[in-house]
Amino acid sequence: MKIKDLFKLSILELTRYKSISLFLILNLTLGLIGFFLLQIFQQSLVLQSAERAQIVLGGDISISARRSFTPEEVKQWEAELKIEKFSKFYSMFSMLRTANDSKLVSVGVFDDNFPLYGKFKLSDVSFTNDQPRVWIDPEILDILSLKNGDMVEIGDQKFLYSGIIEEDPTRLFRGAAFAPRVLIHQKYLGVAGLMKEGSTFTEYWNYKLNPQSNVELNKTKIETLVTDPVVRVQSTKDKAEDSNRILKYFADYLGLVALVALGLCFLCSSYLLQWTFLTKKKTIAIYKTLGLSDKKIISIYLIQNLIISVLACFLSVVLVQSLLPIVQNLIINRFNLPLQLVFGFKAFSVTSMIAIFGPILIVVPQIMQIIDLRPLMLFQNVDTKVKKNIWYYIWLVVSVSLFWALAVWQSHSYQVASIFTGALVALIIFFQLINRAILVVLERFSSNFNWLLKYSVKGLTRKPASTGLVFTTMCLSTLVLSLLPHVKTSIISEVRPENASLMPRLFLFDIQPDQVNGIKTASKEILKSELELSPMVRSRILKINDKNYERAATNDNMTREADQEARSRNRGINITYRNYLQNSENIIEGNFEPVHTDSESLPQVSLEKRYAQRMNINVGDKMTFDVQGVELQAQVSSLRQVRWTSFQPNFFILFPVGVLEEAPQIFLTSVYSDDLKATKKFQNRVSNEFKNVSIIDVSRTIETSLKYVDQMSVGLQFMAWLAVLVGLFVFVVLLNTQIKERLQEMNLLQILGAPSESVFKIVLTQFAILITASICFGVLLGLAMAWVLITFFFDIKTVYDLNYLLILGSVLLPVCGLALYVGLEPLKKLNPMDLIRQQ
Amino acid sequence: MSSQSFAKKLIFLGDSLTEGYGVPQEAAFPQLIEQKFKQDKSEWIISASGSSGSTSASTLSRLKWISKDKPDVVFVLMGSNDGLRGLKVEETEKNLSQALEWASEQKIKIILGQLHVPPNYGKDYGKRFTEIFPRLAKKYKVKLGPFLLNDVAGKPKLNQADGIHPNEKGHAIIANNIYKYLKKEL
Repeated sequence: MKIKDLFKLSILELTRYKSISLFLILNLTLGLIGFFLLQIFQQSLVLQSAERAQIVLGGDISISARRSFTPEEVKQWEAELKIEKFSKFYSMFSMLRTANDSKLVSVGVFDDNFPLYGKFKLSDVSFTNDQPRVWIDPEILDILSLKNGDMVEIGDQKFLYSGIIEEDPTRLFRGAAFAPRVLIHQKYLGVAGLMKEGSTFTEYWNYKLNPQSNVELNKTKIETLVTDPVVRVQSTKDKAEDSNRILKYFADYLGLVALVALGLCFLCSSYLLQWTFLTKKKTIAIYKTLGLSDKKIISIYLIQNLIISVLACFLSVVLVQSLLPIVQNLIINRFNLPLQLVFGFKAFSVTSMIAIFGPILIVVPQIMQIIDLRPLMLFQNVDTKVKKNIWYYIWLVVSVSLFWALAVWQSHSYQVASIFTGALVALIIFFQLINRAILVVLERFSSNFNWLLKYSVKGLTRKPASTGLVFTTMCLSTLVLSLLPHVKTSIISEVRPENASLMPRLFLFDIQPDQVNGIKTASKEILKSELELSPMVRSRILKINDKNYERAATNDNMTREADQEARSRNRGINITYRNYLQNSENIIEGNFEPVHTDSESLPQVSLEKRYAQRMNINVGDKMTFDVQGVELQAQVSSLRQVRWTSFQPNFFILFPVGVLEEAPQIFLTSVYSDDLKATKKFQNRVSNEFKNVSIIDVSRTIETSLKYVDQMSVGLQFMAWLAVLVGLFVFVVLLNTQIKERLQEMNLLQILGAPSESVFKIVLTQFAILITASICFGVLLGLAMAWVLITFFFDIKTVYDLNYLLILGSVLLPVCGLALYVGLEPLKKLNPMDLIRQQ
Repeated sequence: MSSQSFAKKLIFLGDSLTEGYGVPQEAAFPQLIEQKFKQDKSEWIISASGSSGSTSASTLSRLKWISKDKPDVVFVLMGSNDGLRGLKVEETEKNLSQALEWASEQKIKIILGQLHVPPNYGKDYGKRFTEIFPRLAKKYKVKLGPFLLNDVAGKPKLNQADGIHPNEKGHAIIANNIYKYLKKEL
């Protein structure tokens, strides 16, 4: 038989089982659309994040130091790079003087090539070197009362004020800075006399590399060439990682959602293929009786699957292409998310490969069953089972390994992929065991039930493998339904305060002890709120458990990392004291001591968890501090989880009250207010009455980053709902197939005289047991898994979305009801002839 | 009675430079000077009260704190952060004046360390900032110490990656310079 004939036979077979084939194609198509959309969404977001990182860094690679580079150094590293464009620029502090006032500013000294990615948005005049011009941050415009055409002085040069900096791409995630930014052109750096011996500045060499260049490899090469530890080499990857913790959360979450969707797609496909195989097994037995070889039968089976996969893939691509403009419109106009969805070649090719070749791998157990199938089975009502021989286990290992490889590709992390794959395998085993336990319990107690219930239970216990498969898949899809939204809620709650009044407008620091009351009074009078001030005591850690903590960094040949490690240990640390925990803190180990009263014992301090881990300090350890010349011992009594994005003054080390009150200290605070006018008035009063107090206006910084968080939150919401839809879809598909599986048996029951209500009740009872058990275990495990993931993977506080659970319940119940109603419809029209026809 | 009973005490009161920011405590210039005095079997005991980020505003309260230790001389090195943050020079001068006034009332001998801001802060601000110290030294009749970062400022090899704080080698040079000055003055 030629391949052409095999194709013909396969198509004939597919047409004969038209409804099953269509059902399979439709199911696969719907699953693939979900997966395609998730892929597109994730890759578009990752691409956008990478572009953002390039913009923030101002290039692909940035080499900087707080000194000038020699021409030899520059020549040396440039020999290693394939440069498309470069920009050399400087950043330094200086005083900007007007006729009446002067103000500290951070001067950005740029050339014509800057920025290599993105662009400045300047009011009035664009960046030019036609004459000495200066552009300034809007926050100092009012303070200095500048108008267009005014002259200001920076260093020895007069500059023409030419507008405000509306958007600076390099400061997308700018932190709170001492001074507002001003821009000048590099042409006027020399005449301004800012670069003299003793000047403090940072020199940057930013490069846009040839698109074929491997940025990370180039970065490593430069780091090997430039051994001076003061030189900083940064790539876009570093910028994406360290510029914002939020970005990391989002990237991790995206990877996780795509992985979950992928896992669900595989499970659903695996179940559906096994289900269709059971429907077709008698045809296969007939082929065997007619003398068709196993090889040919397998070929027919594989060709059928290939045709189904290709058709499903084609259909999903067409539908995704037509859906994409609608989704794009929804994202931009409805959710205000500036994300350009790109159906790139990568998303298309990888997803198509998975869609087409995935089912072939999943089909292996059915192929093994084809080989084992004996024509005699035509006359026996026996279940075919996969023989668990060596080949089966090899297939199992290969499948899990391939899934793991896909997970690595999705998450870019061996660790995450291994944990995810391991957890999925563990969950499958766990759900299988739970299923067995439930069936054993039901079997044991079924003798006490009436015949209807007894028969319903028998329907489940008679086919433990089939029930197990459907129970596990249903549990997993419910787990997904219940898991992801909590992860999303926890991430958003970590990075985004619930309401605007929790967002600070100002940060005040360097408040002296005798100024505390004055500042509190000003707040009470102007902002009508009590201000909480945090004391900050400067100290050094000398010893941990009597071992020296500080490191010498005297060796000239020290690596960059070793030098940084030594410097960070020797840098001293700010500590605070309080008799309470802020709402951004919670104790995760040990006990918090609010007040230290017993002078005989050591004060009990609380350490931030990640800091303690980094420094290898545990509860019970003894720490020796030097508080400005006074040696002080303390014992670690607790570890705290701190929400660093809370916008509150947070510290690594917290002392109880009663120890540090006498030590030299300053105070800091953040000011929260919705009233912009009152905030401005408060700021003016503080700067007039307490001139030493430094005030940083963080409104713009926080607004910019929160705008980004909000946009990303919509993205998370969208992704979570897509994954939920995939989960829901799998759930409904399983219900539907299970109903179909029971139609024949129910028909037989009716022929034997069972009233149709009883038949209906039997099926309903079976599904009530299956649905209730899988939803209960899925939701509970989902909550537990959410806690594990949020706590250990994201390392943040778990916030359960209870509203979502209610919504889930109110969606899942009607959906199940509807699926059952529609699925059980054929029960009402059962005809004994169907049974004969099917036979 | 121990020999320490007759010892005289000098305390450096300063910011991150005095704290030895980024270097081990024993490599910070006050400790190096202390070692040198020990080697000389000098009667002077040297200690330091450095607090990173502190401005002149805290000088008076910190002076009161260290006065509990009954120092014979306090070497005041406060004001660098005022300059680096571009605070008004009048404010810095007022803060230091209050501290010097109080020290004079308490009969605590003061050496006021000369400070400068980097040239990129501009000639005008730099000049006005630099002039504070000789003016105050004259007004309160205290000694004016040398600029702490002489021979160190602006030299990448002697500073940490931030270009502001001296590394171990930088601290060693500061210690030598200040030690020579103290040997002559004390």
